[in-house]
Amino acid sequence: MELLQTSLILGVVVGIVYSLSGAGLVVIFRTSGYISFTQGDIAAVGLFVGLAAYNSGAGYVWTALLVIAVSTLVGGLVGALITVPLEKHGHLPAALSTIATALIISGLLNLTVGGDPRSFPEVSRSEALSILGVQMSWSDVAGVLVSASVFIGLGVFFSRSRMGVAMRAVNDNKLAGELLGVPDRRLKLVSWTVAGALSGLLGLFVAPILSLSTVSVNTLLVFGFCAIVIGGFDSIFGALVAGTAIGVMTNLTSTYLDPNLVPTVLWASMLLVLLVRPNGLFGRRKLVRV
Amino acid sequence: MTAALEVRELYMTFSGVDALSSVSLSVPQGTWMGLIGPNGSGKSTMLNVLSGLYKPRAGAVVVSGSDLGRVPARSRIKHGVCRTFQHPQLAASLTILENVMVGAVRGRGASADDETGLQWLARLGCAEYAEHLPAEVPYGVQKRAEVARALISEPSLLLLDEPAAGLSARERAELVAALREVREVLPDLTLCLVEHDVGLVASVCTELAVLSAGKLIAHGPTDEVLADDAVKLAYLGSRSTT
Repeated sequence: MELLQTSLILGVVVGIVYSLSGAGLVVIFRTSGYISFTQGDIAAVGLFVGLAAYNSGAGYVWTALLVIAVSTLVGGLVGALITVPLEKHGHLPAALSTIATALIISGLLNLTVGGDPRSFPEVSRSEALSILGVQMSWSDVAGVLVSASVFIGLGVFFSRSRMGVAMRAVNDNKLAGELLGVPDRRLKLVSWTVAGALSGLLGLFVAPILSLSTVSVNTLLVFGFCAIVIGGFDSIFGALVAGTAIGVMTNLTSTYLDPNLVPTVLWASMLLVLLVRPNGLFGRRKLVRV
Repeated sequence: MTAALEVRELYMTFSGVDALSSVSLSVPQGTWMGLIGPNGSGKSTMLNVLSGLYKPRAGAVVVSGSDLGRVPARSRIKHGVCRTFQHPQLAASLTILENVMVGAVRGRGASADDETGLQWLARLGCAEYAEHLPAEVPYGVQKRAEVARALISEPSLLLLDEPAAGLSARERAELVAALREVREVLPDLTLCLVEHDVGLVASVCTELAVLSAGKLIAHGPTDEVLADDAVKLAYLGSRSTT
């Protein structure tokens, strides 16, 4: 029973962080209409710069702020210089450019900092509280609180703010957006910049667990990708629910079945959702008149 | 007084063929002008030039005294020009109300809130669909939602592209009632209505402009233009004169 409780509660904790990974992808998908495969590498740049500062004596808070600032900048630059300009050729070239950019960043990082995993500082491993006998560290609590605040903020932004609604309109109907004067390029750059910041934030919670290497943040991006496929590409709420469910599901699989089965269960559940509900559990279904 | 819309010597050419040729007209503020003409006469081209989608070969489009020649389509809303489309161009994943509110993003109605959006939907008789997605509502509601989206931008010149196309007789009647409501609420709004249904145009417009083969063949009060022999000829062919 204790094992079950631990699996469930820590599954929720890690799942909410998976959701954060999905949220960054949703932000870009909502304005640009495709998935970015660069987010993990954008975070990696921020994390390596942050780690260098930490090793030179910077405190944790400054390190965290630096990670987020660098990821924000890199995210904005990737959007401004590569992906958004490529969108005039269609979604496919732009989406493919995110893969190319990811590989280039990863290659450059391997050249400069090497591929060995490094330990990354965290908020604190000391116990913050205990829920149903399951101990949670300050890092766990911070991960949940920060992710939850981000979700509330994004949810309110996309549903209530005029800019958020306009961002959703940009990708849906270009012609109307243009004639209504919706500043689509600017909104897309905002989305890339915000997604960059989210990647850095995600990295801060992931790097201490997985250790920092050029591939570790990408590992979590896979969970984020599954979260938005299952939750619905355009649904922030869907990413939260699906990410949390994935966290619980993978923890239970690893505890009661076999840790090696985790990827199989993850991809199988994603395929199942795609077959039954192609727009995800919470994605808005686009009805087509016949 | 400055005209709400002034078009001077407008020419638009596609592959060497003049779609608009030497079109000039002036529309005073508050006038509702119907732009009619047979298929291929240049009505839609004219609307696309006015909204900035097409760049004319020559001529000027002046709205409330501002020459819009160098103003791109996306900036015309700030000059008070907004339009609807023959086939409604709504964002599929946004509700009807959210779609309406997109009109306030860059339009002059930037301070408009959801309440204003709902008010416009109510005036146009479709408030009950505010929370529905476009694909879930009748075609006529989609078209009126587009009108609401344009109106929330507080335009001085509203361009309607065949708002009655594809509507049932009942939906047309609802559209006419909605347009009359708009005219009552916004007496200063200048409207340019492109429409095939001449009866509908005549019932809401005080002026008519008639295009035929890219040329303006008549422009004036609705009754006079409908009685014009050249207009009858253009519309009904030579049989009407026999």
